[in-house]
Order: sequence, then structure tokens, then C-alpha cells
Amino acid sequence: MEARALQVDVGKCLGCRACSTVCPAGLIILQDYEGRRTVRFAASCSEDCTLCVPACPEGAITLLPGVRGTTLEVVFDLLPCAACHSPFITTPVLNKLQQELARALGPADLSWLPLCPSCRQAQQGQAMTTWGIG
Amino acid sequence: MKASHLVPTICPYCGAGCGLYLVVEDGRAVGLEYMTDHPTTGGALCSKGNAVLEVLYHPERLTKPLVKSDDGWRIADWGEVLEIVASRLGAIRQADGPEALGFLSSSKCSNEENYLFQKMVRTVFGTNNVDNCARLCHSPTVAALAGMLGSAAATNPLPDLANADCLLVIGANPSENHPVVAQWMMTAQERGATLIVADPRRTPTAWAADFFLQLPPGTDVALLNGMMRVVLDEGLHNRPFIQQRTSGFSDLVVSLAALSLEWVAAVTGLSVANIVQAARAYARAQAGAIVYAMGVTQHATGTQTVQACADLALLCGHIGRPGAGLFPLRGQNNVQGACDMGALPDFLPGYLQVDEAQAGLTVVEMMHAAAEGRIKALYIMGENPVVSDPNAGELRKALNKLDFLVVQDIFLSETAALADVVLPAAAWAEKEGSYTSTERRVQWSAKAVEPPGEARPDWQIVCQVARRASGEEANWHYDSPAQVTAEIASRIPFYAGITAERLQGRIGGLLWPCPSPEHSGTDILHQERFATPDGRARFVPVRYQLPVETTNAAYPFTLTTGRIGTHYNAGAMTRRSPSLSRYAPDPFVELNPQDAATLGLAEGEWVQVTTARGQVKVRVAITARTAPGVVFAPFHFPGINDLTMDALDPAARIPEFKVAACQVSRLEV
Amino acid sequence: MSAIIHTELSRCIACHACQVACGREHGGAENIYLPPSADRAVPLVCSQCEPTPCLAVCPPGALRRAGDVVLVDSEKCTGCGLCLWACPFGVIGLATTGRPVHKCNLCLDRLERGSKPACVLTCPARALSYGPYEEAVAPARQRAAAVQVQAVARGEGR
Repeated sequence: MEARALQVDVGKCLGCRACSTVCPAGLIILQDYEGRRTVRFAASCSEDCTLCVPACPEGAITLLPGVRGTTLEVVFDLLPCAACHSPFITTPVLNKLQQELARALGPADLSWLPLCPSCRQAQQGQAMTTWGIG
Repeated sequence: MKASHLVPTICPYCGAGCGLYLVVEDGRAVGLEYMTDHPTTGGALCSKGNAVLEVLYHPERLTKPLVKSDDGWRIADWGEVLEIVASRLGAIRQADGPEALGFLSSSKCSNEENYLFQKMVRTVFGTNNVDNCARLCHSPTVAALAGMLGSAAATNPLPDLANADCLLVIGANPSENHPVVAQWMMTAQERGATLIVADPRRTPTAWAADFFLQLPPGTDVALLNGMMRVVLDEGLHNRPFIQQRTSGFSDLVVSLAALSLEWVAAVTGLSVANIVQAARAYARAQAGAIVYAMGVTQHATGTQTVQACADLALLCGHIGRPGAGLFPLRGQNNVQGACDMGALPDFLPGYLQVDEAQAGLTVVEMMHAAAEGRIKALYIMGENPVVSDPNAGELRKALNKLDFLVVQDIFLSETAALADVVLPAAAWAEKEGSYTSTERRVQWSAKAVEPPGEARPDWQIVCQVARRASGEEANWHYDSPAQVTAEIASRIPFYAGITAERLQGRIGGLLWPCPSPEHSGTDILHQERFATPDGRARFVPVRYQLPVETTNAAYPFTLTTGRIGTHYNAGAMTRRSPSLSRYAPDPFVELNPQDAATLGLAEGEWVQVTTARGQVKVRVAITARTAPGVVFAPFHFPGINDLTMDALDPAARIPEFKVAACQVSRLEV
Repeated sequence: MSAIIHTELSRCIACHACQVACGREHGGAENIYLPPSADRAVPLVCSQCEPTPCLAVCPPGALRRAGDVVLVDSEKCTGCGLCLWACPFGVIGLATTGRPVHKCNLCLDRLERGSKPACVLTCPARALSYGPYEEAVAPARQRAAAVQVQAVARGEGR
């Protein structure tokens, strides 16, 4: 297949796991290290596939035939869990979730959102011991 | 959709005897199904039962006979290894006499296999040197209850715990190690039962306790005597029961006369008030159950501790009725059966006593004899003494001294690694037979799949060795395990009504005694009379004794060993099961936060634990579960038993696993 | 009222049977959790919430409700992880392959055979039940209360 530039609208990139997970050729690599997430995009893609495009929740990826691309690294700080402080979520993801959950749930207690999944489990465990049943 | 069928088997792990179906498709077990109409479990299965497929298809399963050579293991064929085993054992017997041979039978193997193994040991090799790992766990139950009650098994079935209105759980942690029992204890509590838990650690069993008596390891006799003192003082003993059904009561009264509760409180660290409350709760109950296990038995005073438990039960008349009884929680899936079948040095099948002068050596005694060169060969079927026996450092030396060691197993265990010949055996699902659980429940486990490679069912291997060694066919020709079951029924009166045909397809099997083919088994023992000559139970007073080894300046901590729920015994199966071993992949000890702080230790750090016998490197788990001054070491890992001592209970010959003195120090990297 | 899995905390003995069973039934993916604790045990499993935060945020619409249960469509799931971070209880898991995410599906294939979820069938302490909330809650609360009443009558709290 003819090479296509792998173009990313950085302003739209959430730093989620979709594109790096669906790419069958390993052209998009996500790495978390010491509190930061780096998503590395290859300059171009010659595979017979466009999976990354619809996978991106924000439509940030375009594949342009006949154009030379450049490799790109998008870096995010991973926000620390409010309880255990381990880095776990990017700001754009957190913002998107707040938005979507407000839309879907209306006014609701989202105080659990800044907690990582393990700490959410621990918190729920604590709450349930008060009630006695879940 | 492939056609699959369900095969009923009995879980190969513990003595709870849970049933589970294997889902078999194209000759392979692809899943498991829950046996929801099982009377003891209702289909429940603990973490280990759920992981059995990881053992069945493990890549390290032994598939070929192995012979040790200078270059390592050589694969051999069955003809060759059977010839080696028969001729080497025969030659040693010829040169040094039958007492130079020792045999360890497997409490994981079926009744049929244990029966055949002891038959081979006695009739082909001419010795009574046969034992099984019951020696290391409930031999005190046999030694104590056989004398006092005339029968050495659990007196009531496990679901009957729900009918107790007081449960005294002492030296046992059923919620962790016999989890299916928990549902019955909880049902009892919901009906108003009081739960008393006596244990040095705040275990999951103790979470639910109404009275938690956190006593130091090895002080149980003091507590039990103290409770009996209270019962007598307050006139709570069951006079009619004592009068009609027991003997020796006055001996007990005399023995307890000088006992002071203040002294008991000082020894156990419990308050007099707690001891009194617990005693009253048990004595005043309509039906009291005593549930006990290794915390009671694994002491040089194990027999006496069981006797004290039985004394308390007899004193209050809590035996022989629904909800009232003694519940020894037996460990292995067929340790009850292995003993019933006479895989013991001092009992024949059915507990016919061997003449004292002829009695053979017990497990630890065989190891001592090997060290001294009196035993020159051992044949070990499905046991792993290098990990499970005490003073394991010395034991390895003893095994290495042998002229010949043959091990029959499903994995190349730590013991098999030392052998001259290794015989690959079939796992539970690859053979059929009957197994007897801790509640005397005899159940059939069906064959679901073929063994891998050249592995063979243990019953076939034993017959083949016996045939070669004896040169005769007649006594060793069995077409199937069912024929052996029939032979057992003809030999053992309380198994007389148990046949393969009756057991197959009968979920929940039959509880012995089952003396005839029409008999439907016996739930509760000792309802009318005890199985003693005069029909009465006998009180045996006991006095508290200090543990063999107490703490000192060099070894200031009390080491106690025990189990955790996601591993099993010597760990050969669970350490190879990823879904289980991930919870505790490394050997570790539990240390109280106070002690950890004094030693400057952090959670998960590697430390050295040392006793007078050896040392191990383990991780430290800091938890308030274990009392200050006590170090708890799960024994599922090789090396832990390098620390323990092989001082033996004089009657039962069980080692003092539960108390030793140790030191803990940070490992300098 | 919808039928889901209920946990009775006074009964949980932290034996991990439910986790091992769930993992085996679902190709290694465990969907029931036991947050570590010294002296209590709380099994956590998806409540099949309504309204459904995970479903609401899923960009490719890979989460859908089928009666009482919220299911993951393994074809549509991109492994973006948004549902995982949207779950208030942290009970959605990410497979090592990245996709699909995994969550409790009430062992739908077992329900269709007239059976029950594996964790419910296996629990040795009978701490897990499957059914409508009212059917599960009332008896469980009564049982828990009865135990408390005994303790109080004996002059001990628990």
C-alpha cells in the first residue's frame, strides 16, 4: 500500500490508549514513565488499514496519501491519584470524562473521579462495610 | 458446538471432600462445573479447587520413568524401572532384612491405592514400616480418640456444624483452610450460635468470633483445663451424661483440683473473665461443637491436647447428638482413608492393631533410621518429605545416605529430585477410586481423561512392583479399582457395605460405618454407645507441659508454622498454579508491627529467620494478625521446615511443628 | 427489578475462590476484586449500574445494555480505556493485549443455561448471591442484624 502520512491534531489528542492498541503494525507506541505519558507516532503508514482513524475518540488522526509525514511525540503529565498519588490519568481524558458524565448522569457526585481504579475499589469497600451489603 | 460431558470427581486438595465436575471435550478437561447438589458443599469450591486444571495440564507433569545417572536423569521404559525397583528392594531385603526397607504411602492416593500399597509392604516385603503423612497431622487424633471414644474420626458430618449453638474452634482456621466449612459455621451463627476462636493469630475464622482467645502457641492444654475448671466450679457439667456414658470422671476432678484460673490466665495471657465466659458459653450450650486441627495436634503434647478437647466435650455431654461433637479437620483429601486402609505401621486395614513387638517405624522415625543407616531403602508414593517433614536439613542428609530411593509422583518434587528412580504417576482425574473425607464420607472419583505420556495410575504401578518383587500374579491381578473396593469391603467391617457400584453416581457417597449393603451410612457417631469395650467413653486427664523449645536470648521469638488459603501443604501443586501462587509467590513470615519496628523492617523486605537447626531467607509481611513475639511461617515452601524440630509426641510420634525458638534479622545485601 | 450479583460482607472470608473461578471462566480475565485488607474482606463486582457511566463515555459505543447486564462488544472495543476511568468502583479491567476491556458479564452463558454466575456458585461462605435486589437484600440484612443482636445481648459489639 502506498505510504500515507500519519497526521495527528495534537490539540485533540486525549492521551488515551485507543490508537496505540488498535494499530496492528506497532506504528503508534504509548509509554508511561515516571509520571508522564508519551505517545509516539511514526511518520507514515504503508499498511492496508485505517483502524486508528475511527478508533480515536476525538477524530484526531488523519492518513494522508502522497504526503511526507514526520514522527511525532505527544507528551502528557499523568495526574496523580488523589489518594495514593500514583500517576494514572491525563488531563484531557479527565476533562472529557467530567463532561460526558455530567451529560449522562446530570448532577451527580463525581468526587471519586480523581481516584485511581484501585483506590476507587478501596473507597467502595469502605463504604460497603458501612452498609453491610452491596 | 463440540459435544462435551461432565465427569464427577472429588477435589484432590483437602479433606473437605468437595465434589466437582470436569467438563471433558475430545479427551481433554476444558473446564469445570459446580456440583450443586453435594450435601457438604452445595457446589462450593475454594480457590484451590477452582484451579485444579492448572495442575492437570502443567508442562512439568512427569510423563516418563526416570533413572538417575552420573549425567543427570535418563529416560527409561517401564520394564526397566520396575525391574530396578523390584530387584534393588529385594536385594536389600535379602542382605539386611525387611526392616531395612521403609515405605511412605500417599494420603492423596485413593483408598484402593493405599490398601494395595500396605498389602504390598506387608505381604511382599514382609515389614510393617509403612506410614503416611497423617503422622504429621492427625496421628494424635488417632492416638487420643481411639482410646477415649473407641473411634478416631470426626463424630459428626460437617453440615451438622450448623446445628451447634456453640462452636469452639481451637487450633484451626477453617475459614481459610477448609473454606466450605465456613458456610455451616455462619449458618450456626445466624441461628444464634456463639463462636469462640482460640488461636495465636487473628485469622479470617477469628474475624467472625464472638470470643477471640489469642493465646500463645502451645498453651492450649492450659486453656482447656481452665475451661474445665470453670465448668466444674459452676456445676455446669452434664451429670446424667457423665454418669451414664463415661468412666474416669473422678480422675479428671482430682487432676483439676489444684488448678487456679489465675495461673491459666498467666500462662495463656487471657483474662480470667474471658476464660470464664468461653467456658460458660460452651457448657451452657444445648449442642456444643469443638473444631480442631494442627494448632492442637502438631505438638510433642499433641495427643494430650486432643485428650483435653475430648475431656471438655465429655464433661459437658457434647458428643453423640446433632450439633454436638468433635470435628478434627483432616488435611489431605484421603488422609482419613489412608489410615482406614492401614497404611500405618501399627494398624492393619480397619484399625486392627499390629502386635506392639511387630509394629513398624513412623515417618520421622524412618528418617532417623535412614540417617543412622538402619533403613537402607525408601519407596515413597505421593509424599514430599523434603518439604513437609521437620528438621528438613537433616532429612535431606538422611535421604542421600540411602542405598536406594524410589519416588512415585506427578511432579519432580523436591523429594523426587533426590531419588534414584522416579515413577510417573497419574493425577486424580486420570484414574478412578474412592476417597474418604474428614467427615468419614467415602466418595467415588471417576476417571475423566487419560494420563499424559507414560504416566500410570498408582494402583497399577503398585500391582506391577508387587508382581515383580513377589514373582506371583494371583494376589496382584485386579482388572479395575472396583475389584479392590470389593476386597476392602470384605476386610474392613465398617466399609463392608461400600462398593464401587453403590458409590458411583451417588453424590455425597456414604459415611462410614456402613456395615452392610443395605445400610445407608452413619451420620453421627456415639449416639447410643461409644465404640469402647464397655461402651463408655473414658476421661483422660492431662497436665500442661511447656513446649520442647522455649525462647532465649539467642532465639527470642516463638516460631509457629501453618497454612495460608491460596497454597496447599508442601506446595508442589499450588506453587505450579499461577492463579494461586501469585497471591504468595515467595516464602514469607508474618511479624507483628511492634516487632517489625523494633527490628527496623519494612513490608516485603527479605529477612533471615534462624533456629538452632537451620536458616531461611524469606520476605516479611507486617501485620497485627500475629501477636507480638510470634513469627508465623507458612510451610508451603521448601526450606521452612529446615527450621522446625523433630521432637516427637511419645504416643502419636507427631513432630513439634508448632513451637520453636527463632531469631529474625535483616538480610545484609 | 434487575438481577445482579450481591455481596454479603459479614460472610466474606477473603478466600479468593470467586476471583480464581471468574478468571478461569473468562480466559484469565478476572472481573471480581478483593481489595486487600487486614481484617475484613469486601468482594467487589460490577453493579451493572443504571444510569451507566461506562456506557455513557464509550466512544465507539462498544458497551451496551442487554436486560440486566452491561456487555462489552469485543469487536468494537478499541481499548481506549475511557470506560475504565469512568467506572466509579474501578471494576473494569484492561487485558494485557490492550483490548477488549473486560468486566463482569454475569456469566451470561451460564444464565442462559439456567445456571448462575460462577462466583456465586463457588463461594464457600455463601457470601455472593444472584437475584433481584429486594430478594437478596432483605434476608441478608436480617441475617446481619441477627448476628449483631446476639453480640449486643452478650454485651459485646463486633
